[in-house]
Amino acid sequence: MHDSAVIETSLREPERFAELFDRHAAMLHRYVVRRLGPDQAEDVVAETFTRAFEKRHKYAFHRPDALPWLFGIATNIIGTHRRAEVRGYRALARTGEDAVAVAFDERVVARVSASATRERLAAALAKLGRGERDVLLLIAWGDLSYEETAQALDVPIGTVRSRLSRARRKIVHTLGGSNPSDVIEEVR
Amino acid sequence: MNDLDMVRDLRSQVRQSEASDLHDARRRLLAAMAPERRARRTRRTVLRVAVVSLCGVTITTGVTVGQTFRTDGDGQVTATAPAWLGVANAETLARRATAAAADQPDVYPRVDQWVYVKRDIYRSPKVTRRSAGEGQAPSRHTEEMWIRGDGKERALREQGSTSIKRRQGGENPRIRFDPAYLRSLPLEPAALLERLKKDSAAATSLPAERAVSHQILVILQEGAPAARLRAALYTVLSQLDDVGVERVHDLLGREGVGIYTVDDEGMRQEVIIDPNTYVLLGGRRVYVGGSPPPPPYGKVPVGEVILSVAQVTTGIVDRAGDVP
Repeated sequence: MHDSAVIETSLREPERFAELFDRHAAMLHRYVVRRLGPDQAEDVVAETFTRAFEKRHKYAFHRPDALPWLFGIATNIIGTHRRAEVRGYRALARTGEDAVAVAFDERVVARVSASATRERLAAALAKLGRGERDVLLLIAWGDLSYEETAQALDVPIGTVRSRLSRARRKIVHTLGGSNPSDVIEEVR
Repeated sequence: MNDLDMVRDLRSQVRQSEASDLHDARRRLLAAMAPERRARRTRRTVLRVAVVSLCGVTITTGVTVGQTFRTDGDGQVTATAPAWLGVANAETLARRATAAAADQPDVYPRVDQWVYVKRDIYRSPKVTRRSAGEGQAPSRHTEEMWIRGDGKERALREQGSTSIKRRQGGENPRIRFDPAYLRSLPLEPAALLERLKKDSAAATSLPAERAVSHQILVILQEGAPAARLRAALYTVLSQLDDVGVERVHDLLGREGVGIYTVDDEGMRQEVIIDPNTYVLLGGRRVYVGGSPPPPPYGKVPVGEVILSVAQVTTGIVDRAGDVP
């Protein structure tokens, strides 16, 4: 059963909405952990699904996959924590220590070693505008396509492309790239 | 690695989320849903009371009928006995694999490292002789594969060769089994099934369940997933329609439990699992008859093993060409 059908059914049987949580909460949670850290992730996911439940009657039922919609709600909530998010990137840039990853990777043996590139990258993320960072990270960390990102943020796909392009140029520049026009658009 | 790949790599070591990370969030959602559920239940009860009163039946009877109806509704979805028996065995195996995997650490490579897989492969000569382009290949050979952590590059070394062949992406870059992809998959089986349905629908034209089982097979055999994801994949496989289990031997003679499905062309596709460690031993494709075989298998006898693959070694290495 597609997500859209589950949401439609939940209008009559509200408890069915929990199926949507079981399908997508883990993926959203990992995304939020990467952006904000584990301390706030569960709270953001809970708020995302609560808001989604409250406005499910407004869902675009012609879209079978609800994940972009949920990512969009989560992105709005993450936006209210953006100072904390930026603080995390700045701390990583300054110290080379990533509290977010360390706190949530105790099961992972192959850890990423500290590198100057990673620190510069974190500094670049901290400097991006909110819209640019949202687009970049929905694509890079949320694994959404351009079209899904446009759905998530409720903007035209052209806006996604331009924001992504700007974000990547800024990152290439921060990383010391000599020719920002070398940024190649991926086919998605 | 381009700039976007560098961003993908940042914090990629954050582990997959699991049910215990989301317990409170789920409880909060259910609590938020409760007022609406109560309101709907109250409206239904009022309606039932009104209807029952009009019919001249006691109120108590009316409410009881309503409650019984709801309980019966849930109970009636139980599967029929034969299907249940076959699936239950596979599900038991998957449950044990999940329990065994719970305390095992996930080991994933960095994006600049490689997953190494060495496999023994047997192809029935009765098929290969008829298939154009495969006639020269020996019926049994060993191959070694490497896939980079970000999935952007793969490498292959055939038996007897001292060099490796590198290629960007893969034969079908839309069927992904690279570490970055595997780490993005949810560990909760229902969520994993939905994700695989979505991803495999975009990658193949096979019917949904066959596409999912095919993708699971590719991930298990070529992606060397971590124990917890592997167990979740077993669980998804065990819950597909018409799944069975049987004791079988792999290409190296190791005894294992084969979880199998049979497709419309009479091909039984098996995933062979070590019953003690739940590690993947390999897989087989066996022609079991029942329908006219497709052209390459035209005169293959029933029971013929068309393809058999045994996992020999898997591990993480720093460069393509290295072995663990």
